[in-house]
Amino acid sequence: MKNMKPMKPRFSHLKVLGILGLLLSLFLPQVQAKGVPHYFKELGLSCPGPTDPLEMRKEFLTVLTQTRSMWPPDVVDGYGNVASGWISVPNIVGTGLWRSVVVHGKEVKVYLRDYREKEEGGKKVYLYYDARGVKKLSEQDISNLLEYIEGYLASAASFLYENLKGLKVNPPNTTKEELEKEIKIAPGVSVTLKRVLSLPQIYGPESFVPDELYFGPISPWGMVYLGMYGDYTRRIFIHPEAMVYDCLQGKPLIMAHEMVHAQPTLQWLPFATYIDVEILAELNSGLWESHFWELLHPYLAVLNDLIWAAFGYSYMDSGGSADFRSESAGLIWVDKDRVAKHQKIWEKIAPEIKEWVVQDLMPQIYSDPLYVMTVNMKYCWDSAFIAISFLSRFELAGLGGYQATQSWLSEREKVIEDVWERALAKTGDQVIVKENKDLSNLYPGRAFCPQPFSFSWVEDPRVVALKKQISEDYKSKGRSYVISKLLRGGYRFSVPFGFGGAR
Amino acid sequence: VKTLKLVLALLSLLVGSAILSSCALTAPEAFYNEAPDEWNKQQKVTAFFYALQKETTTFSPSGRSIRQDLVEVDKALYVAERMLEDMRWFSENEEYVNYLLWNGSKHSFTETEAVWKFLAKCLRAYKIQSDLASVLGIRLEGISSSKRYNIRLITACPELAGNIRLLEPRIEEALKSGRLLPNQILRLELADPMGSVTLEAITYIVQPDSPQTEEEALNRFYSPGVYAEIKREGEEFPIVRLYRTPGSDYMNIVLVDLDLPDYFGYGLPDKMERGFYRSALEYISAMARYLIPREESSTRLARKKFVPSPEDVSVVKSSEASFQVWEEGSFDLPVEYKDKDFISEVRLKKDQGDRKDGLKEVEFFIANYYTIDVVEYYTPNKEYSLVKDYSTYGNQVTLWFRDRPSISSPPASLGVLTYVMFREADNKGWIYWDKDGDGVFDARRPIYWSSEGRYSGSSEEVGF
Repeated sequence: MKNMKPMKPRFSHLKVLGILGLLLSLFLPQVQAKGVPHYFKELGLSCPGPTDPLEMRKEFLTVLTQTRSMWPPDVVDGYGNVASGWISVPNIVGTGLWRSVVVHGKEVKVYLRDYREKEEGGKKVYLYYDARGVKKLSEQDISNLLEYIEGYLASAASFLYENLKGLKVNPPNTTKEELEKEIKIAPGVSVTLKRVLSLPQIYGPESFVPDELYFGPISPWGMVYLGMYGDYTRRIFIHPEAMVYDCLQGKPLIMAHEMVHAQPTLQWLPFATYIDVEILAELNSGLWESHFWELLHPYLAVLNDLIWAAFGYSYMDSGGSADFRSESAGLIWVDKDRVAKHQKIWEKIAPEIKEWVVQDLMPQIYSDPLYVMTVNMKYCWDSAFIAISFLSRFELAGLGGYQATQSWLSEREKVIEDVWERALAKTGDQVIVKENKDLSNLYPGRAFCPQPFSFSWVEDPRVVALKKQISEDYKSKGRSYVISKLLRGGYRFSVPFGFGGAR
Repeated sequence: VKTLKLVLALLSLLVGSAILSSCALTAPEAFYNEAPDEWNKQQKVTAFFYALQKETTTFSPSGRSIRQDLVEVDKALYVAERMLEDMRWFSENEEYVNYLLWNGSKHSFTETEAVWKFLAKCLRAYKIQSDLASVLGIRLEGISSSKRYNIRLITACPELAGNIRLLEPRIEEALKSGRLLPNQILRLELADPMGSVTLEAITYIVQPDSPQTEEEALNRFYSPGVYAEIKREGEEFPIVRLYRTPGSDYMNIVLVDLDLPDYFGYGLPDKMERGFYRSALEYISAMARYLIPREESSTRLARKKFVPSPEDVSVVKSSEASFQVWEEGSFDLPVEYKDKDFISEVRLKKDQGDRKDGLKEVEFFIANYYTIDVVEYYTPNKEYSLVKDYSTYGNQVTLWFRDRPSISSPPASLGVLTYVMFREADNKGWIYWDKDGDGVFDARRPIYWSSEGRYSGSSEEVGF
């Protein structure tokens, strides 16, 4: 059985990805030489999957039919999206196995949730539980799994560090000395200016390594609980299925996504409530996927709006990739030409977007987080600064090319100005929506600016449904119920891929 | 399928759901609502980003760059204050406190709070400097002269106390040239149970260049101050500054610094207020209690609900007399009842242990004077304490024994009177206790008299 193989540097024309390709080829063979998770064998996985986007999709869906019987989701909608994830009987931490691995010189405690240790004839054996039943595993199986997890964590952290090592940012007009100078704030409290400005502190791949990893089926594929800036117990939760997905695509991107969340100087409370932490995590991870399917990720809704306006491409608006899908038969007829076109476009635009993220977006945001928060507040929109950064790099050419777009816009210059002024006057206004009125007290201040918004979400049936659910819970069970459900990840945000997408 | 990849960062969830439930309008949404109907969706999106691009970026031959002056100092201050408000909310909400403690944010919470206090104090000082400048016509220079936020404002915070401009040039000039005269200098001590302070206050008046008339010369001593400072004794910066704006008869602008010298923010104003004061003394008399310094507190996250130590968990049975507060002494019963009718009752011990002999242990023989609400409790004599069975009829108790003939008798013959309970008025009553059976009550305590459930039927219903 094959395991992760080095990725061919697909975008070798791009320096940064050249580095990435090299990087992957450096560490992945080690992973291959090491253990293979026992359930990968059961799935007959061959990693990475096919390079062709459609073949890859088929492979992935085939594997999913297997993993879904290992960890059955509670509710799946007509599109195969998990509406309500794996429901598990709550386990007390300690019921499973604790093991430690060392990743980039840092100890990570790994919790194998559905595993138990047992003595049998003076020998240790291991029991593993999933929906298919209880299996007996050997010591070797456990160490193979841990070796794989170790490599997985190491590669995700290296991937992020390669992209973000330049984030030792210097804010405009400041010197290094200024930033490092200690300031006495209060008796016994001295901090550097860097700390005051909440600048990122990234010193090596180890800066992305969590303290604890919880391995086992959970509702989403990955999850993190944020803490305050700089210092907290970083716990990443990962679904075994996510590791399968990353194996197939040949890049540890789901783990990388979680690591962006768990980097305590990149995303922290309460900062995280003023910026869109999800798009930022996804732009630093999922964007590196080889296939255009990534554009269907709900966290990239704002990016979809931006590339529609700037580049003139929208996966959703161009009818997706399917000819027809039958919910009843559970089949999708996919148009291969469409798939090929989407993929070509992805290969044209993804490198550009990645360069923007690494070269512009991240340094701009993290050179002065307070400025970013205040700008987001001004437009009452938690992605405002991300959009502004994008618009400072790319010109609008979406309405039939640059000339055509610019002339369409200049012909309407006056109208746009008027609309803009009226819009700004109303920005931040409290719009009274009857059914949700009482919810504004849920988290004081959060009913106000900044808010998330994407054009792609307007009229989204799932957004409406979720809204209703929260509102109903609030009415029938009260505020503390809603808060504790939120804390447990009970309301997940899902946007449909239903516009013909073969997801 | 990809929905699975819905990654949850805790608070983004709150945002995620708040969006759905809340009602603040984002700029793109507002634009979308206002845009002409004949534009299609892509045109609306493009027009919005065009307007945003125009407002927020500047174009140069080398490409666009993001404008660094998009927001006012006030707005950045608002964000800093709201961050503190958010943290206060976290610290007061039990679920969040437990959450933050669980994920090890205890230390970083305190530090983050300190950092945002620093930012808020500094930005507030810039705002006050700027507000004061517009009232007094002070000309500010450099970064301070703009009302727009710039990161240089923050990098200059550590030295701001020494650089902030809070004096109008006229006063500065007059101070230097000696034309600003201290008209009233005073030193006084304030104290309250929480602390004390020694203040020094100086009120200045401006001496006319050369008094032309005697009246002018005299007036200067009576004219209201133009500027005053109040300092804590021996400290560098004033904690209160009072200003008289042109045309006002009083000092009408007050700047207050709430910080102690060891804290960032000392030397920077925290508040700008309006008022009417002739001198620093007037201000002190009005505000005395606010001038006594208080240590600044920082929030420490602590679990709100503690598990008590097992020794502190109290189990008190109502049958145990020890928890009751008895008044010790020698008491006479204030009621006469002996000639009244009563019925008898027998109360067995609740816990009969592992008795295998089929006998029952009696706790009390009871005489219930039901017409006047008096109840007597007799502790059984030894020979009557173990019975095979019993019944009551009227005031008689009949007891059956294992190895003796049965006996019928009123309670008084079967035991020693230990307690008497009686009603005094309404629901109030007393219980008297004869501890040693010598016929004198040694203790008493008031009780709540409930007539509910008390005996009121015929004797046949009782005891079997």
